Amino acid sequence: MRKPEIVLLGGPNSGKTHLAAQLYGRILRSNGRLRRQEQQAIPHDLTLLDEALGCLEEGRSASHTGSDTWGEITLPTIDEHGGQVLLKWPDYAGEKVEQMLRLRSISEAWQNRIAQAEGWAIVIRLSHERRVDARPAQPRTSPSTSGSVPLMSDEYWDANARWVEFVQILMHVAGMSSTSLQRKPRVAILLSCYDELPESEESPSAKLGSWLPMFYSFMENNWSPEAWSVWGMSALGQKLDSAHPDESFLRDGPELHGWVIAPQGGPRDSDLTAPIAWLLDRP
Amino acid sequence: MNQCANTRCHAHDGELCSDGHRDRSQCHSWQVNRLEDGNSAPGPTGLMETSEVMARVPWSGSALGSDDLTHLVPRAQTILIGLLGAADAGKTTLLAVAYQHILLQGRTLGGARFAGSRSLEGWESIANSMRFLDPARHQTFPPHTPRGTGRVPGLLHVALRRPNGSFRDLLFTDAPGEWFTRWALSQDAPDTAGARWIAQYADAFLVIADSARLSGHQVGNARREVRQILERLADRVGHRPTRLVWAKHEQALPETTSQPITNILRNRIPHADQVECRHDQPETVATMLDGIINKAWDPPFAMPLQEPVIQHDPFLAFRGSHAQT
Repeated sequence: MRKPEIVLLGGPNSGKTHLAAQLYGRILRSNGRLRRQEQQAIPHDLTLLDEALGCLEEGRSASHTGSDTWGEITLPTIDEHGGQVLLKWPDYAGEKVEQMLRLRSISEAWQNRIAQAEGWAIVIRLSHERRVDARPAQPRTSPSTSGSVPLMSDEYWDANARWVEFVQILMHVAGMSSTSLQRKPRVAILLSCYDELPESEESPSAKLGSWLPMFYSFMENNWSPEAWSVWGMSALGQKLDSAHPDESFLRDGPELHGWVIAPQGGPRDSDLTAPIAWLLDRP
Repeated sequence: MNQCANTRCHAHDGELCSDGHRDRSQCHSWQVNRLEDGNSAPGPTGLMETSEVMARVPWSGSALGSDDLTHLVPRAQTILIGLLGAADAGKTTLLAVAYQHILLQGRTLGGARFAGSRSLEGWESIANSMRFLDPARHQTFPPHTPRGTGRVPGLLHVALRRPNGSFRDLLFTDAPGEWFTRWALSQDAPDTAGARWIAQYADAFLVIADSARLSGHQVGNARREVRQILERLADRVGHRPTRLVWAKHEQALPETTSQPITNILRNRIPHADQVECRHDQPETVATMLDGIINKAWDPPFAMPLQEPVIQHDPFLAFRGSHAQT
């Protein structure tokens, strides 16, 4: 049996936990591209997903993952071609990702994980990404004095630069060079909470290109085209409230909610496992 | 001392050990200082001390210094572009415009597209001064680049890839104008080492003339500075691509002002060209940079060696298959 690992990378509030809980439900109970292995027991330890699963059943949004949370979800699955795949993905607080960026360092455990992973799923919530726009410079009227403008810390960075720096750091610690186009690991960029974005005809790929053009260019010029893809994803299909349960979730169960849009665009597909199946698909 | 014995290593700043050790205590150079001092008191960067075994990267994000080049230069062909000009001529602003309006927008630069940068912090900090972060703050030009020593000259890096796959590391010098005015006056003065370094190693030059100042009441001084820099550069430039950039070119200069400068260019650096650009029109900056990058992308081939024929015996005259017949 293949035992591919996937790393799910995303900042705080990007919707990783909801995604994990929904993926779990899909793999266990639906007939998507990735399915549960019939003869295998369900995972022994569900504590990591417990809260999220409970909340979603009740139609509420799950709370923020605690910063000390650290664990791994393991699921025996069958892929589209009938191959057995033991899927593992880590769950952790998004602040860990922020921390990687701030300290510009990655713990040994993460380094090994990143270097060995079959696929990287990078979760970006576009509506929370900060773009800084500038008007063309106007001629200065009075001479500036040295140091009058304080140097900004990285919290003022444009989202483009943050994501480029983040992926650059990952590439470096994984021992990858950028002088040639990468084929491995495959990278799926999941644009989470896609329902928050204004509706348009644009494909998810074009959407990333127009929201984060420099990051898009970076990906395009570091990965070969068949090794990375951009997916629109709404793990819940709608916004949930943490206090007020949603009727349709209560009635139908969370499996019927949530969808993805393939990189080239198209209709909403309720199979949330599609991007993960793509990551694991070996050409 | 919380510093590595290897003076070129910046592990104490939280960067990767220059020998590549994940755990610094495994590094011989790091150990040397530890043993000599015999102290284990936490240093100024106590945070780093608690997380010794971490995978790190060999760049800090700030403008690159000469030590950083040792990590970068081996990976690909580099193009070092020297931005020369007097203080306040608009060198840093040109870079800020290039970052904010070309790179961040995903536009091409010299027919190539963005493929990474090791100095994003540096780019962001010069671009931040022209952004509207809060409405109360007025938009200003990037702050003055102070003259100082340390890890200078600051080099801003961007990796570019063309559609045909060719990959270059582009480095722009971001140095204070005083360096160049001093260098133009006195080439060998001790505080002109940075300018000399740029003149020696740059693959291409952009000389910035401040049109706003040239059309103001300081025209005399401004013209003298540009001319002196051009004259000094002319002695060093050889065949390297050079452009004279009329920056802040909101209005045309009177010919009497520009003529003396273009004369020097024509006589002393005949292969150089001129281009006008305005900071409020990013496409003029793009055109200006495209021109110099296109010229420097593929360096000219070396002149072929002419081997003199000293033997006419066909056997001895064979010079290998590479020889020209």
